[in-house]
Amino acid sequence: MFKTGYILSRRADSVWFLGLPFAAVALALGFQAWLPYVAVASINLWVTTPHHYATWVRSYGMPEVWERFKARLIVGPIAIFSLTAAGLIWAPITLLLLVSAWDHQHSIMQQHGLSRVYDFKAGTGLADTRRYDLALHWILYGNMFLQAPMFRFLWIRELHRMHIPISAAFVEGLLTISWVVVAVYVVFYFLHLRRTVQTGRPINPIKYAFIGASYFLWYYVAWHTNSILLYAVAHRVMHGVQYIVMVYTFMRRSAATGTSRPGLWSRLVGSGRLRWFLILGGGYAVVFQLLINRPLDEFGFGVVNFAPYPAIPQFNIPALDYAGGYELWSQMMLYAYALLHYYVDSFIWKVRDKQVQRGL
Amino acid sequence: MGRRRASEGTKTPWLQATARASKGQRKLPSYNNIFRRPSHARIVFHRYRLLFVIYGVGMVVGLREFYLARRSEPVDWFSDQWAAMTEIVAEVNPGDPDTDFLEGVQSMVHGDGPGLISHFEEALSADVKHNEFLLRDYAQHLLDMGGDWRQVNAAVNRWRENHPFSDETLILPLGTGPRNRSEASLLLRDLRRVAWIGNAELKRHQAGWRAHLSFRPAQRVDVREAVAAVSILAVPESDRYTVTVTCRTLTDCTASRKRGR
Repeated sequence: MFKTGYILSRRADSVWFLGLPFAAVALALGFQAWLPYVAVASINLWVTTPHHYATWVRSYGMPEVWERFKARLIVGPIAIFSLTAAGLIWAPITLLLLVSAWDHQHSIMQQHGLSRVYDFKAGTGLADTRRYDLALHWILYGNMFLQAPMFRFLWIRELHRMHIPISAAFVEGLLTISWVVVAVYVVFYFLHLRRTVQTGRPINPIKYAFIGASYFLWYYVAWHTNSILLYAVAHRVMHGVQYIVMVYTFMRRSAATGTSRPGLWSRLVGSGRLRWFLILGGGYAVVFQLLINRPLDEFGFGVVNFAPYPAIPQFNIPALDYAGGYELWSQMMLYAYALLHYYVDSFIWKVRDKQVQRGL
Repeated sequence: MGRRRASEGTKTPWLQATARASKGQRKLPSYNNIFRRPSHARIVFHRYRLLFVIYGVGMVVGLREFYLARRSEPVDWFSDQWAAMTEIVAEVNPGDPDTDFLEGVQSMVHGDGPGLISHFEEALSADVKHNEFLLRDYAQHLLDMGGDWRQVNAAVNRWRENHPFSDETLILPLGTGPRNRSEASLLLRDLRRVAWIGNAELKRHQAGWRAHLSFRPAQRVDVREAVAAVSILAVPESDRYTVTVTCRTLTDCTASRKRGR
């Protein structure tokens, strides 16, 4: 009836897929108790932005993926950047809603994808189990989105902003229907499991432990409405870390089995190279932060701050705010590059140097 | 030639292929190749279906927003829709900090100062950190009402600790404000010398001048220092470069000679 299978290994799954949601909740509760809200921005920089970088390595850095999806990898960014720019100009609220809605869909699909991996690795479930699983994820997540006070406030507000007024009775009715749908579907899902067993196919209990852990995180933090910080931190830690682990594992296994041609990705996997993969992820976050003109202090969880530029009253120089500080930093870069150019030229162009003479 | 093309256009793909095959032009293709082979448009749609679906829905919503933005007033804190939304949220999310905040905003809209403070303090008692409007507006309201300097400082610091990189400013009322450009530059100079002030701008409003103060992160805020800086205008013009103003509270300030002069 049961057949266990793991994505990575028993121990690694216990850490990254089964234990991480609980650890992320504990971390978020700690953040809520002891850290300011800016810690959410720090989590973004330490986890979310590097998890984007992992996507770029996995897509643009693997030759097979690039060749197979070349059109989508070129057309996608052009279309998305263009439509984002258009949204910012003509429909900013819609753009925010779209980003938010896609984020939710993406979160559902990641957990669904990992559930699928569990069945794939264990050889469990029926051919149509994936459809039942997908519906389970949508119904459980959708119920949370409708029911949790934090999200309830958001969708009621956005409907009003779109001039779609709704009554409290309508909301109450919707919430009741949502619970009924969950209850009915859970029964339906158990019938599917019974059919699975009757057909002689096994069930992977680890998959359900994983789904349970994921929804524990989402439901627990979504009902903690005293602070969005809790949801933001816990969700992003789970989503980002699991994604990075998955990408790196996939690349490592591809390298070990020789199933992919070498590329950028293969330089980042292998013995002792994990740190370079992570360092590059951190570097990507730094570059991204500078590109969007946000302070590097956001890396510091509101605890570590780089010294801002203080006033120097002796020279009548006022203190600089962050915009001013960034301008000063840009100016320093221009000067520093120029100085480096002066310095390097001072020793690579000696005409008396035999090596230089050979190139002249 | 033209007639043949026209007649082909009326036939089904299967009949066209059969006709060509009977003339020895091409091998007869299978039924599946003709009817099950997806068209180019279908391939493109299938390949980009996620983008089509998401941006299709986005376009519909966006067009509505575009239309509403040009035909009606925005739904902001002062609109009827916002008040209606607050009522519904209060009914379905009672006791939630964000609900308290929304009710506080309605109190503000109706000029109910005590109601605003009561709702905001209820929300803040839940240790809310995410709602910058709540944190900022509470601090600003305390300052506007001439609250105790310790409370004002605590509220401003709470706001800035949680949102240190926010561009939102604290507004300091100046009353009559600077009378000329020289006084304005003196005022700005003294404000910018305060350690926690990142920048200061002077703006004229109906009720007089106001200083809009932006912040430097990681600096403990003491609003009395800003009040002391703007109080320089109350000092006789001849003494302005030789005295220092310090404030014990937000209203009790004294000028004393600078040391070493």
